[in-house]
Amino acid sequence: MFVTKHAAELCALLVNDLYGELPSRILAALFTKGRSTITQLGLYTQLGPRQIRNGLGVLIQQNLLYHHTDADTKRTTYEANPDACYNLVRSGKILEMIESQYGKAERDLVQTLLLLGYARIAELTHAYVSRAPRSNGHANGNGVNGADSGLIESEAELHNVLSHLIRCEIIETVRPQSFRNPNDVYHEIEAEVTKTAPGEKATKTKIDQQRQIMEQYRAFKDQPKALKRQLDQFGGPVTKRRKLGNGLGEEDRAMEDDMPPLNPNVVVRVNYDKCLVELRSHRLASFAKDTLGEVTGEVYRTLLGLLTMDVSRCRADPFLGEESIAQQATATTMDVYEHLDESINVTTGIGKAPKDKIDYQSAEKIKTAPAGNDMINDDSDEDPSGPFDSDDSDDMGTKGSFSRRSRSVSKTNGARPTKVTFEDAATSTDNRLDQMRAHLLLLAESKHRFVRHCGTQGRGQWTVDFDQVMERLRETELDASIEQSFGRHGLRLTRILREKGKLDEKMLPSAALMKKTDVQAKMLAMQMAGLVDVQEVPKDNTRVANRTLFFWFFDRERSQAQILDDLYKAMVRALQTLQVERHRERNILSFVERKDVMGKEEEVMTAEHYNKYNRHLEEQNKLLGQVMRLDEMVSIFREY
Amino acid sequence: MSTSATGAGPSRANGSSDADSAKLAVLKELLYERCREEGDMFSQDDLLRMEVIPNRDLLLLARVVQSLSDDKLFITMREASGQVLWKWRDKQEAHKYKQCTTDEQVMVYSLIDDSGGDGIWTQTLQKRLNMHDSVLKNAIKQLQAKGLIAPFKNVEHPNKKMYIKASIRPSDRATGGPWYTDQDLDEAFIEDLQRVVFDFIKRQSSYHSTHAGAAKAAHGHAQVPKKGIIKGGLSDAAAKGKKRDATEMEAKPVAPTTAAKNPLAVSSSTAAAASRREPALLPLPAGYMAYPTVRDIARLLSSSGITNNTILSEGDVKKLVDVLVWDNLVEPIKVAGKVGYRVSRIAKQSVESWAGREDPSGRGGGPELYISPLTEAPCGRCPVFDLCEEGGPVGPSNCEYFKKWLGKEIF
Repeated sequence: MFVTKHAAELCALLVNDLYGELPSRILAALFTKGRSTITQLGLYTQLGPRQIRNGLGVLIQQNLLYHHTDADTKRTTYEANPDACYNLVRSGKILEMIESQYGKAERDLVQTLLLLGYARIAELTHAYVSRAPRSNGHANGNGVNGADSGLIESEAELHNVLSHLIRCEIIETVRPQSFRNPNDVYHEIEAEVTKTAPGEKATKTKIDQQRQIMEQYRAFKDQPKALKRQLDQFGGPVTKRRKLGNGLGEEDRAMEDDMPPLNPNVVVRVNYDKCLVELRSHRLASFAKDTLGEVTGEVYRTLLGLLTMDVSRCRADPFLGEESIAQQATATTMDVYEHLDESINVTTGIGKAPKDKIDYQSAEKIKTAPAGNDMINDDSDEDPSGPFDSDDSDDMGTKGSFSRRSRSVSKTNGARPTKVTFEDAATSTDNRLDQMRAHLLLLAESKHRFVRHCGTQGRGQWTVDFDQVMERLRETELDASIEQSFGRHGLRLTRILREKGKLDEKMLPSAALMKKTDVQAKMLAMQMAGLVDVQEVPKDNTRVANRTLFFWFFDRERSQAQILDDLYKAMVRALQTLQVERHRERNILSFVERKDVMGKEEEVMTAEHYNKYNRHLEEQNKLLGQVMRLDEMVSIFREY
Repeated sequence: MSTSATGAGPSRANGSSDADSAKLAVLKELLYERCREEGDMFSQDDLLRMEVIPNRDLLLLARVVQSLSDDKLFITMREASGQVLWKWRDKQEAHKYKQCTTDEQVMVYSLIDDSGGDGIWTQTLQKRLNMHDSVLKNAIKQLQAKGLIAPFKNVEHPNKKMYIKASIRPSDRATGGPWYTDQDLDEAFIEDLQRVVFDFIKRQSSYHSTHAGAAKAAHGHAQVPKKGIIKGGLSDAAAKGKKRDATEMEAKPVAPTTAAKNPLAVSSSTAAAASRREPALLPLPAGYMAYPTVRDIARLLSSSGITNNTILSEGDVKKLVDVLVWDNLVEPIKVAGKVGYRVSRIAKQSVESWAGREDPSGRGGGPELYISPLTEAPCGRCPVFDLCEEGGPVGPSNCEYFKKWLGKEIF
């Protein structure tokens, strides 16, 4: 990851907040100076070797560093791991997601692991078993849970939860190799493979070498998942039936009872990549909710849950390229239907339209390949009667008539409100399925291309072209921030430039229906902000202004990078403001931290102080909430 | 008139015999009439083929055409290939050349005539004619006094002094089309039209649901559906869904996040959310064919008469809709081979209409846009964001904006 000044500042600030100043200072030095040894760190930070070792210990325990000991020189170098540092800000989100997707016990375990950084399974077992007897009154800080809180109480249970999470890739195993920068590993492998011994001719072809490099690198990347594969062999495809949405089915865990005990010496930690996949699904679902409505968003969420089950990271590994993303998963309508939360009322959320105004053919159109960039122009009106998909189109016809029939059923229901339909099981199942399908079709039709209708098996197969949807989401975020900083006109001008590429200054006013002077002022303001830029093309050698063409253009990558940096800075500022606030209220805060005050603040404090304390808590919530929302945007631009 | 034209036309060949000139006049008349019947442009062969000229006499043809050109009844043109073509000119127009008394006037007038609806700049005139400034000015002044030419302003070059024939109207390019009033871009007009178009698209591309939850239905004010299509069944179905949710929630405790996801559960639990479930817009099912097209919108605008005297072509309306698309307010959608438009972010749009609102703050009923988290907090809108640094003139410790945002009084 490319680290800007503000990103480094943010990481150091986060570490400072969580683990104190010492690790933060070392981290800041590592960010500014790059890879260093302990002696060098001593020079940069003016700290003694003992302190540095302590600080490095904390950082390594929290997986915040890469370190490597060269085999020849025996020198150890340390390097900051910016992604891991940044991920600290996401802990809360991840825990919330784990709880809603998997359950309380899983959340508890992940929380423990996040606190510990990484841990041996034996240590975890010890911790949980020793805690178990006093589980009623434990001072864990996160709520007073009764006996049936779903928390882990026995070793067997711990192992069940652990192996479940390992199989879901939420937890991965740690090896010495895990602390190496993947960049380094790749280059080392590359050097190893391409190196020729003295006298030996370079016989291997480039392609062969490349393949070898890829294989070795993939082996390195797959290491943390070794345990998962091992577990998968024992347990069979259990994860397939994972309950989505709310809580984990009890039968799921029960089925893993006969699992062999986990090797207590294995070290585990949280796999952020997989967590990000889940968070991405969450964000996409709320994007769909935002554009099309709540119910559609829920259907989408269910579909995403199914599709991302085997996706272990959001973006393809830059070294492995596309290969690292598994074959694009598809889900059938029936799958989605089975996994859809029963409390979701799919009858709502879509308007009704007279039958004759619905073109089922285009609604049900099957797209076997991801569409190009422009939905309106590329559509190509392929006729479905081509030799290729003649059977497909047959299917489509029957399907169309089928949903037509069911639609008319729902219509009669609407007309006779006295009839209670949902007790009439046969039709309501069918109805529900069709109505859910309508939501999926709606998603497929949207300009954001949430889903792609890619097959006809099982009442239709669906897939998601994540990079396209994410591109749309990024675009939406970018548009929103442009709109709010430069107004509707600013947005309009940049969108024109994005659509048309480089555009002569003279063309802009007429396309945007704006006054020439307004356009110029707006463009200038946006140029100052770095969103757009101008290219001058002189018509002749004199290079006078009136013999020069001015082409405006919009640099998408640059503006995204810029907005990302602004986001880091805004996060830093929000956190710093929080620090300032804390400093201002330090008297009250230190009072609240006292053991005899904690828990009964209202009784002990005076009304004035208590109010002040509450106000501070509100401010803190507001600031931290804002940081979380900014993080959401950062994820969109960077990770998802 | 033709006789007078013949008389005035200098006959170049010999001009001696009256019979000859009379014959020429007849031929001229004949050729001119034939051309008017036949079409627009003629080459030499075309003219010969008309069989007006006896014996296909080229020399005679040359004389006739020359004479017609001298009378300004024929316009000589040259194709890119070098071939010479002729076009006929209306007799009345040709007559105007007669009003030009001097050669300079004729030259100036012919250039202005050629420039047509776009008009011509005085500087261009001068460059082409290579005349002295005062001569040109004089000619223009006289032509203007005779009511042959008129000055006008071109929106593309508002600072240039342009002239156009008095008898024709400036072209759309020169006036800027319907968007301009008196050479100024009529922004208020455009803005209002956009609102009307946006409202129209919003109405036509969404399903207006009263969507009253059970709680709302009890109050009774949501009972009257706004549109004819909505049946009572909808709110009834919502009530049913509500009932089922409640029973399910009793049966097994739903995780809080799931409850929050379920709109109906929310509507029963929090009052704030319940107020949100006012009449709402819903997306139409996939494959809906009746999304308004540019043609529909153009028809609406012309039939509603809100544009009073201005006539908007389909191209103009397309421009208007394009701008709305660029503003992220509507989106194009292609169904069954035709492109229609629907409103973006339908789930969040309000049912109120945007147009015809008085409040100058402007957002009421307008499009609901996605608000970026960045710009919602102080930093995204901070005018001194670039300067902001701890220890600098502005920084987190003395940030006024954050103080305001956190609801603190400024010290």
